[in-house]
Amino acid sequence: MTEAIIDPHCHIIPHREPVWGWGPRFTVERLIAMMDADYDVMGETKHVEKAVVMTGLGLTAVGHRSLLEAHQYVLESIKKYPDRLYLNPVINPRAWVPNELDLVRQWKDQYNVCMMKLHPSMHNYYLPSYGPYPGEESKKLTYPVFELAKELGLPIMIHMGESPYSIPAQIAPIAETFPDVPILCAHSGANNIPSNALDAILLARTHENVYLGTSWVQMPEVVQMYYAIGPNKIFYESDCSPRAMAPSLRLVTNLHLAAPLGVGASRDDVYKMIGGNVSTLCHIVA
Amino acid sequence: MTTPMIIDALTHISPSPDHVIGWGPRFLAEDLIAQMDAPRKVLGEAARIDKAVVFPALGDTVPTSPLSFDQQHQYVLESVGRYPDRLIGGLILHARLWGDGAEESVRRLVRQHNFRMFYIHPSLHKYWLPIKTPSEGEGSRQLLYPIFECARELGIPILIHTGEQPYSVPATVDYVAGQFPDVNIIVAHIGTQGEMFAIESLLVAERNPNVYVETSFAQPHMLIEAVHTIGPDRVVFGSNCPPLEPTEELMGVEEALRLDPPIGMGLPEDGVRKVLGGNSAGLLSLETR
Repeated sequence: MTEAIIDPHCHIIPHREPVWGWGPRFTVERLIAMMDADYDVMGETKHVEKAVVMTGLGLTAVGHRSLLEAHQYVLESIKKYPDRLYLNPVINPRAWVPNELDLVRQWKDQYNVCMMKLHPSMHNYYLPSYGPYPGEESKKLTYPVFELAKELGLPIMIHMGESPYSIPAQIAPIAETFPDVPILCAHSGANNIPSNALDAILLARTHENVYLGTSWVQMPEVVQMYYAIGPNKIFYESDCSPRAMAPSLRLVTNLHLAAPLGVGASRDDVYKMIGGNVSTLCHIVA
Repeated sequence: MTTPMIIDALTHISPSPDHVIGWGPRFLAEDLIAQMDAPRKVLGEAARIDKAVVFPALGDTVPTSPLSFDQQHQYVLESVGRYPDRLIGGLILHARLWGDGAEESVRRLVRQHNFRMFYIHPSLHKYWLPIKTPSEGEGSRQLLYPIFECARELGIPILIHTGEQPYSVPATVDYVAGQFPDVNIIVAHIGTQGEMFAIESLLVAERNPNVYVETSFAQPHMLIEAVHTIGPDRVVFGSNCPPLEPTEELMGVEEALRLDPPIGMGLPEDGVRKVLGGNSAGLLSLETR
């Protein structure tokens, strides 16, 4: 099993992020520098070997950019660092489904595409519900993305963390419709409502294809997560930028500590959570 | 020149599990000292946590606890006696016990054993902070004003847990903060434990110069917002260890404040030092002791 650290949730942008507002920029060079910083992982100094990068989310939501225009800087960056970086294209279903989705198929090998990202809050849609409204409209928006993921063997990362569009339980219907598409639940629902992580834990416990990410999650919920779904379904993610990698990584490696600070997780289990699981799910060879 | 102290304003110790909050099997004073002394760098230098304010397990203080107020604080009392240079006693005040002899114990622990902070927890102990609706407000004032009056008399700050509905919404700190402008109040977690009430906490702190915010559980963007809203003088580092690990909490604060945007806010080192310990030293009157 790999002992490489993989960060599957990063954002780069060469200017201010137009919706969240953070700035003045977070360049690929700064990301690489952050990956190469020293991290104390269970007593050893380690570095983040690979990262999956997204564009600044705002570029996909405002300004009427095409899928290509919204990803221009990320694509150039992956060309510069093809051994370190993988692409997670952010899909705005209202803008780009179905007409521009084919581009992802073209990018897959050329730009290390290893998953796709949906962000219901940023792009203002509900995931498909069990009922017809807004279920049917949501299916038109999201099913093509899931069908493409299934065809290409890619997981889908879905942002979760606030009302009304990004409550973890809302993932259930589409997870059941596409049981062979792994779903990475970003932030485990805790982005803006920390206690939503408990909802995500129940979701992952009841849906085999749902995995939980740790950025923005608080330690008591990470501990619950470990006991509820085990180390094979948890993945470290930093959300850098704007989050730093060091505390985000430390949150997960602290599971190695004895209770009450951690759970006494084995070294192998910690490495699954900080790289191994993503390596398997996203076919990242590290 | 000596390096300014790092002070952790919020920790717990207990020889048995916290059956309400849920951590266990124990977290002894020695475990806490080991965490305070764990190898780490802060602002580029090897650094220990010099002092910690230490409270009992919250679970021992719930209304159904069979322990008396003195029993709830016995282990903390013994521990600060063993480590007087490192640990500062903190008192968790279940307001409903105040009239049952707790007041006398509080005065004794402060005057004879150097306990320096009160901690009240509206969610756990089931009351509203004073609000303006007459019935609920009056009941709350009867419970809490004696504690605030005692804090004023003893010169002790009050840490108030915030972070979830319905009792621990930080906006409800505003009224009592205005009623007791000479009592320093620390809004724990910047209101972000189970839900995200950071902005509300900062509105209250902006309106009331006696209100501080404590950093545990708070996400980096809210730490940055805190310093931009009220400056670095009223933000205090706390780890909430256990269950949180102090090194991770220190990292979170340091990187949010110190690193360049967009990861952090590029706060100069002296501002970071205030947050890490300088402000707590003032609140705890350590400089003059």
